[in-house]
Amino acid sequence: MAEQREPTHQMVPTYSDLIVLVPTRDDSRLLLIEQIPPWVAKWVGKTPREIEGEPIGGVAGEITEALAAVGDDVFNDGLPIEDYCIEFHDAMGNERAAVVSAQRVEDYRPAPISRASARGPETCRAVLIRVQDASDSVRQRRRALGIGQFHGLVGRSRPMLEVFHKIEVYGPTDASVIITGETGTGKELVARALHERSVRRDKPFVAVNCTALSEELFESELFGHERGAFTGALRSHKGRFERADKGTLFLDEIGDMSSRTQAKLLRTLEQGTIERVGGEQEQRVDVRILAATNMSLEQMVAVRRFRADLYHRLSVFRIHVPPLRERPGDLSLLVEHYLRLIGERYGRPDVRLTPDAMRLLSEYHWPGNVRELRNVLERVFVETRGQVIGRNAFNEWVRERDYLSAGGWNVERLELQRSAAPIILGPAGSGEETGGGGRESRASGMGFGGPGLSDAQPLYPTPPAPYPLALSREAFAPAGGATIDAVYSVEHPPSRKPRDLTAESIRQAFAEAGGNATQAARLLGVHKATLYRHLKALGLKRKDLESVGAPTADPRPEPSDESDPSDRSDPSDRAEP
Amino acid sequence: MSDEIERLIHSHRGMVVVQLTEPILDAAQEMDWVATEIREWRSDVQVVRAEFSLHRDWARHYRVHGSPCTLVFREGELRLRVKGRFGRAHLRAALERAGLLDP
Repeated sequence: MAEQREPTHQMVPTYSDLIVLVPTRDDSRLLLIEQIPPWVAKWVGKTPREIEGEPIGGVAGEITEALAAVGDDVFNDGLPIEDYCIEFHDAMGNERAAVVSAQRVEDYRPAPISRASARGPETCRAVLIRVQDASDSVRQRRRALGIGQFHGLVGRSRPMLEVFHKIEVYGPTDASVIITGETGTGKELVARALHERSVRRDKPFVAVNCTALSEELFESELFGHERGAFTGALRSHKGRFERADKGTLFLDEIGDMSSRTQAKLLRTLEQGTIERVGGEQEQRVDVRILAATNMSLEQMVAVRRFRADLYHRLSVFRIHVPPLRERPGDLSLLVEHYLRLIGERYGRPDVRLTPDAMRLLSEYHWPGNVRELRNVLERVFVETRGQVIGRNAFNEWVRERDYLSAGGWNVERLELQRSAAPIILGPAGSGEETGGGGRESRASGMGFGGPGLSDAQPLYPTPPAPYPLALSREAFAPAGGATIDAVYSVEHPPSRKPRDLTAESIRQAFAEAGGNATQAARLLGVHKATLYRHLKALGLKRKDLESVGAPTADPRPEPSDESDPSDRSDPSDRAEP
Repeated sequence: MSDEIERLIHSHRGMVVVQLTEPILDAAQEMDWVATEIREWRSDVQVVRAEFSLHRDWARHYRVHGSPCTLVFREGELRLRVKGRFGRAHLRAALERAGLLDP
């Protein structure tokens, strides 16, 4: 057995996959990195020279944390470790796996030039850790077993695992479930998964979107109608309730249902019967109701836009599907999943993103969630010829996002990168993913002003304008080779991470913006349309807010997106009332 | 989900052995029999088998970052942690060293 082996009394050869940990002279429990292979150091974003001689526990990184725990166990207990598989994220955020074996040696003699040996004794006890990169094989096995997928839902993050767990628990019950979550998070997939897990799985799953039809049509669609019930009702029609009998009815966007239909739905749920439009007989139906919304039903109940009794009848269980920005760990899994699906559809398997492109995607807030991710991946997939999709493939999309969703990018992270990493510019428009620092600088300049940006040189030549608005950018280009990035920074003042849009924060933003909705949206770090949606949901009147923040004299008209570009030349003017 | 393991660790009077495995690992298949071995040596053992990827955060709290790994608790406290693939003799030695086979 492994533990019966004799201790290894030998000099450590410089194996390329071997990590050597030695204790310090003064604190023998603290393990220093004596030797580390360059490819392992790269996982924590360092070179061996940078971390050799440092305590392994003090080097930031998921893999070093795991290796420190392995080192401590082996050093203290003396029992070797074999085939221990560690899964972790590297410094670039990529999912990786390493198989580790470790053992203690009693008389290790450090190399004379070692930084760690300068602090240690001539010979000492040491831990040898052999590391093998198993990222590819683990990924392939996971793929083969479909791990990370649950009824079409993809994720391995804690919030998603909780969703899977709730589906498992709530699925077999017959109770109603409210599924909440932003648009594009996969609420219908959750509903389908609940149906698949229920005893009704062999019966119909019928979905209906409450926003898609007018009120009159919706009632007819939901409950059916008799022939001649209204003009054009040439024959009797089975409603969705009847079609879902013994199965599941999924009501999507239930927050948009009219109060009259809400009352009728409540009656149906309580009595278990329906009455067709124009009909005279009640019909018994056995349907499990699942409902989804991206609104806060509680707030809608509070402002009497949703019936409290219906809310309590429906919300026996609740599942919240997290937005993509709250589960960044799932991004690579989702990218891999969708690239595989898209690759199968277009007959180009094994297309992948470069780490740089992955990092770009991880910097985005994904307001459209998984649906938006899937669409952008399909777009760049079609537009790219090669097997590897680099960061430059996303340039046009980045420009569009920059313009359309001011709060879309993870500002804090970009700011951090901007301050931490020097801006090194790559060759303009090379289109190659060579791992240089040029793309770094492009990320830093994505739609944000701030220190340092105005010094940036153009990474690529002036691009063809995707929108009429872009034409106006040239008009503001300062003389002497201004860059598109710099002009962006003039047009879009530094955005903020979207604040929680409460009534109070919105009022405050309007007050700060002098009643200007566009400016208030910018201050809140959201698009104007998002702000209007929240105003509606919170029952706030735009007129009231504008009057609160409006200047007492010389009020300026609110600039619209279609207004003269020259209105945008100095955003600070608009910020001041 | 990890709460259930934690509850068991604190409620069971004897020894609780938590075996963290991963279905994708060959090593995990070989570890199946280990629980039976422990029962041969001690009768008051409660064995829990859990998928590592579902209990990452919980495992990290006990300085476990991978699988397979076996954690032995007694009276709610972690008494032994054996990482990687191991055999009967290795496990017995580890249990003895930790004083977990004493009556």
